[in-house]
Amino acid sequence: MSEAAETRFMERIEAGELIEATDWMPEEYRKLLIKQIHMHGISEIMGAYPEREWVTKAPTIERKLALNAKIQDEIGHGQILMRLAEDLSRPYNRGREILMSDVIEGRVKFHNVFHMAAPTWADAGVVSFLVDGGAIVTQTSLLTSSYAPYGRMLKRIVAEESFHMQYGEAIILALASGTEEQREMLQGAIDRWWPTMMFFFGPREMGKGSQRMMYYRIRSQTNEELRQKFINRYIPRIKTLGLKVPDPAAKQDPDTGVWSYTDPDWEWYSNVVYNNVGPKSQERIALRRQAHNDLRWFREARMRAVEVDASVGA
Amino acid sequence: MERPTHDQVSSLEHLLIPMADDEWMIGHRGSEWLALAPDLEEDLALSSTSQDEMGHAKLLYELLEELGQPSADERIFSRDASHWHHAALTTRPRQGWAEWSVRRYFYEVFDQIRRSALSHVPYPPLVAALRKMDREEVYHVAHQRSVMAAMAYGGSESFGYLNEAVADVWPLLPDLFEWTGPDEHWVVWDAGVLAPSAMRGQFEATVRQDFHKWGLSWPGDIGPARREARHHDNSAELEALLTEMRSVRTIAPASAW
Repeated sequence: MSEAAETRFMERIEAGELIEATDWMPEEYRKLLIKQIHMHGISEIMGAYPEREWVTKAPTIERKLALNAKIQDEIGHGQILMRLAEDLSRPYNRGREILMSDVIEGRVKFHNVFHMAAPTWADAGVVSFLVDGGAIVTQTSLLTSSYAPYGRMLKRIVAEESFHMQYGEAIILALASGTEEQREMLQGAIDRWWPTMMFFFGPREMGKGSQRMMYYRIRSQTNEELRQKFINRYIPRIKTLGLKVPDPAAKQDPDTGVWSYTDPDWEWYSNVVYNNVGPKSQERIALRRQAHNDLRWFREARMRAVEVDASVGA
Repeated sequence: MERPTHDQVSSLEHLLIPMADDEWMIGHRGSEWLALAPDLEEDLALSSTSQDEMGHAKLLYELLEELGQPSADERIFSRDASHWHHAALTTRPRQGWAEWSVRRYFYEVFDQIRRSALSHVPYPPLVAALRKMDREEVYHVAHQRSVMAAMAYGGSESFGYLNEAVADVWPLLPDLFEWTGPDEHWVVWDAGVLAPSAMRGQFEATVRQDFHKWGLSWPGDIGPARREARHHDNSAELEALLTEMRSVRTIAPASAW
């Protein structure tokens, strides 16, 4: 496509116009969107694994039903995001099957948080409290994405994530006002997840891809802005619960309002995400493989059955 | 209807506890499939179903609680293993997708017949609960039939898995029809449809029709129930399930969670 088309496209972006799936777009824009939305969708799906470990052990009926519903929401988010990624990937002839295989084959990464272990019930609560809380921060910033279908989907996703966060908050509150053992379990989980959450928003200096996403207004806030928003929201909450913030360096500059914090082990977490070598990466990918590869026969059978089904009238 | 008599309360307990236990257990086992179904759409359908089933169990336990019986919470988290009365089909540990799908199909067909029979019990709170359940369950049966049809019409590989699963699950069927205790528990309502033999008849007729359509051969008589049907006093499987289900709660049983 001509340079003129690209110029026209950027004029639309800069004028705050939104791009639809059927509009012409530069290949770089399409590829950045695929990378972002595919990774987001797969992360939603991989996010089901740490929590599903706790469904059968949920300590009350209501918690069990809510956790089940929450995981269903996450899979649902994954599903609508994969539909977007499928639409965008059409020119490359990459459909659902291959996009879902990508995580098993290591061709798409997923959020660092979902590589980590969730060894107690408190971890299940803290995942909702901190991880879903972090997701709200990043996803809210994407609501104004220049790609209209993504913005529309995120509206629904953010609404549901806020229920998840409230659900997590309810668990945290119950544990914080419980027995000594429950409080210790909770503090342990906060200690485990805090550094992971510092990595969640990405490096202080954004990579080239992220910068290009800012250029195309796919995203509008920097990693550091998002991390600051998160810290500012969560440190007071953790303190209110009578819990310790597991970072002695966490201090707010009274003039600028900017929080200082201990850097997570960037190298370690990056390695986890890029090479799937976190404490639970392989175990969870194996579960995904079980669902996707081992049950491929059923998806294929259903496709074949559609025609027969119609002729039999079943 | 006036407040139920002592005999009627006792009957309700004997009729509803096995049903509530079935619903809870099949929902619990269903929840183990989260994120493990063949695709995202099937995962969503399955987790909806599991939530419905556990919600129905809660509803039924609560009906009994209103009649002075233990709460749903006590039933689930404190009841002794020997006092659970679900059918073995609902608690079998997770195996393959075909086995689970077939098990669910049989359960849904049976459950539909059971709800219809129970609607003859003239206890308004139960009738209202069944109506609510029916609204959700109609999708469960339809969905399980579509899963069965997919395996039946999906080629030789899936048809083979389907046949294996039917043969595997078939011996678990007789226990479904066994209520706890003697016949008085359903006779008190003067509703012949509640008789195990009546339910078996309906179940067989429905399944035969479906099997014929799907090209499945009839595996033979459903056979008599085991003497210990719906009693699980010494079942290691149940013990393991309950221990896991209560593992967090037992950390601080009296505490809020």
